Amino acid sequence: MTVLGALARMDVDSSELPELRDIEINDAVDGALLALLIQHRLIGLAARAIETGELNVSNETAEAIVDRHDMDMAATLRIEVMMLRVAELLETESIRLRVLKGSALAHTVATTPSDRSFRDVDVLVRSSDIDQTVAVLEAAGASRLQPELRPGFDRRFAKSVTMRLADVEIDVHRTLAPGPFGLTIFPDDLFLLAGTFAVAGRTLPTLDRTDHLLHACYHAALGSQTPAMTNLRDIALLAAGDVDLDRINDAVERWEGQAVMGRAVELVRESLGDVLPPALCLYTLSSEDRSSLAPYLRDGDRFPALAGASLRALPASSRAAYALAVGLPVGTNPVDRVKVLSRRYKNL
Amino acid sequence: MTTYVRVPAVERALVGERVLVLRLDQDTPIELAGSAPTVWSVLEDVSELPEIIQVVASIYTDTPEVIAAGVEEALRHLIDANLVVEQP
Repeated sequence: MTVLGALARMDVDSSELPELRDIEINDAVDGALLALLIQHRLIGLAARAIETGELNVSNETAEAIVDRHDMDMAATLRIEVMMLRVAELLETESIRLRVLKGSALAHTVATTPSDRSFRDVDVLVRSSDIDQTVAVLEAAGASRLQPELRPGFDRRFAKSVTMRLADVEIDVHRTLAPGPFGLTIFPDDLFLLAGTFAVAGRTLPTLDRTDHLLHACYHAALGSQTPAMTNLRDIALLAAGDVDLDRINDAVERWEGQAVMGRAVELVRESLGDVLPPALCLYTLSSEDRSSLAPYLRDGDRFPALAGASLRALPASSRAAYALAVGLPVGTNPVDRVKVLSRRYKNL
Repeated sequence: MTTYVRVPAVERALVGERVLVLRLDQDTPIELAGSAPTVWSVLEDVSELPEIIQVVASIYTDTPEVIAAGVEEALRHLIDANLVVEQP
């Protein structure tokens, strides 16, 4: 839908493309808009555009968007308070962290924090700290949604450990993506430089802008078949700022992430138009790249394909431990194994 | 002189010059409207009543009496909502 692309391009230099205020919204689009804005997490932008007169929708739709924005912001604030609590808990134990995605991008990249809602707390810790991080959060009352497959799995192979505290989901990341592309990242690279942002008078560590762009590309390209437009907007906004393209190229080569970047660029161009710097658009997808992405783009349960691809991406010395953990998790019997593994695919 | 200090909180602007504020030790956000969002924002930088009134007066064109009354009403609302602490 053209209006979604124009909304997601707001504040991004796209002079050749239609502006939001020039797009006619007929009754059919007006009627479908709220659900699409929720799906693509563009409610905040739409609310701002209604206020500035750039988005002309019916009164009924405008009221529904504003009401939904109020609700989203209330939820977002509760998550932000939890983020502060998690950061304090980890810093008290001298665990280094980087706040990822939602709150960090809302405060450092979005035009105004109210543009961007988020649904969970995302923090990155070093692989060597993930067990202690989980223990610290458990001591504070959090519980993990799934047990560790086998001792040492989180530290060596997991993308993240998902926990819950006071009805807020906390994703403790070890790396930026599930599956083989997550395993070829060197996560400690992300602790070399840092950005910061302030919330409630506290300064929090996050990725620097270049690393945020890499993460946004990995998230959009590998997170789902059809990423939310807000995630593509993140890429466009980040790329429009001061990022170190040489460092991106170095990281992509070192992390073997050419296919990831190619897909991220393709997704942004398809949905938002030509809004990326030419240097980023050099990332394109070869047929080999598309094959390597196939496990991520399957319909339904992608666990078996991702597990198989992960196994092939690992060094020979790690394959037995990975295969044992994935194939025979601690505490499961063969009858339940398939069900358990399906639920756990997210942590691969 | 009495000072007015914000409690630690997170906040978001809403459509219609409203602001949603959530104390770090609470679970339910409070919506500020009317003159309260302005006073809440001004309290980030100043804390004494004459200064608050002076800053708000630089934003709006109402008479000093109207500004002062509005600020005092907003402060009362913020104190009642436990978002601002009055310190003698």
